[in-house]
Amino acid sequence: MIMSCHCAKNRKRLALLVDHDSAGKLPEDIRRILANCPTCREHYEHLCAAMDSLQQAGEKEAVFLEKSLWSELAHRLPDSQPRPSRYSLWRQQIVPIFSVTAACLALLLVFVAERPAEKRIYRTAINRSTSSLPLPSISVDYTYAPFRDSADSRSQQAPLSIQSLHQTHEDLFLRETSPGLTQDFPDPLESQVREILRQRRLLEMLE
Amino acid sequence: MKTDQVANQVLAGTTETDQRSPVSDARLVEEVRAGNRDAFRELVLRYEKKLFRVIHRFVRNDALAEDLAQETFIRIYENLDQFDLSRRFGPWLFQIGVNLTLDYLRKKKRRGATSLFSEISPDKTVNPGSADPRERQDISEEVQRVLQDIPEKYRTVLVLRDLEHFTSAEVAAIVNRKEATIRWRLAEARNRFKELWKERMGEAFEPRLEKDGE
Ligand SMILES: [Zn+2]
Repeated sequence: MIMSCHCAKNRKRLALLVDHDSAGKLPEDIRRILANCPTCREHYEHLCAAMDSLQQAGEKEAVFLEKSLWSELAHRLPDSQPRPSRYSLWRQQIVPIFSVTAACLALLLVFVAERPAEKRIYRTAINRSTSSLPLPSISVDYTYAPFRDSADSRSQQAPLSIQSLHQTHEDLFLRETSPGLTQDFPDPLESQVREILRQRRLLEMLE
Repeated sequence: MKTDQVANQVLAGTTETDQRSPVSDARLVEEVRAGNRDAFRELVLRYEKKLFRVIHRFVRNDALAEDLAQETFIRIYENLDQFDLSRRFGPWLFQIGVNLTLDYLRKKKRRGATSLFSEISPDKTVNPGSADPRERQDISEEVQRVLQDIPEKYRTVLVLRDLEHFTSAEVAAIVNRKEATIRWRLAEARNRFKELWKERMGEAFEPRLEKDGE
């Protein structure tokens, strides 16, 4: 045995390379191992000799069917024809479609569940800001409006000033950065994901 | 034609018969399902020789191998409605044939026979390098005894791969395991066979090596 040779490890590889010997297809590293390690070399030579005996016996034992089985078999076959059953048709056609759909749903769930918590809160807060948050009603400071003297009706209706916009952004910022505030507005999808994650943790604990 | 080439063609469903009638196995299966018995006859003729030989490797008895091969074809016919046409017919047939054979041998063993290979003659040691044909005939018996000492899952792979020359992928399909598992089992089977063969042959093993060695 040579110092660096992993003889025990080589046994599996050598066993799979027995066929390649005669064709001279042994990989270079194996050739080197066989040239340098007497243990591996002996193992390989014994393997080749044993496999040679197995092959010899195999060739000698090979048999040939002298008469076709069909003449007897034809009488033994059941009369009914093997038509595809409803179940096998269902299995072959419906099951793949169902599997693909289920896989897509699972992927979607995993994708949603894997998103970082902060980003989820940010996204839901933004969604709420555009749809459900009422803008604060603050008195309009017309002194800033450059169209104060004009008779433009749109300027008359505008309820927002720079301060009010700042206020709205501050509200939003608070909502985005304070998780406590977001709980006042439960997001159905988010709570579902939380529930799934909770159940998964429970399952992991049970396992 | 080399045995492994035949094996490959058989599993691919393109045997010599195909050169005369290039109908695919899948097409024949569809025709059998539609009620055409001749199509099933074609499938039987296409696969019977190889199936008989594979089964014979395990049972080593002509009549028994014929019975098991017939039984395999009957099972195939009965279950043809469940066959998935996107799969290959060859591996499915050999899978059923090999399972049926192994089941038979297991039951026989449970019923009290001590050996999976009941045709083996009484124990005696021989010299595998001998020129005497009677002694050489005994090599087969010796090999069978050694094979018998190898656990079934390894022996099956060894027989299919090294005696019947199926590829690893085909063996994987027949025994319904991953190809990596088959390679692992094959390596283990060969190493086990080598150890048992060396043990059984004793000193008779060494002179052969000197003769074969560099
Ligand atoms: Zn070594």
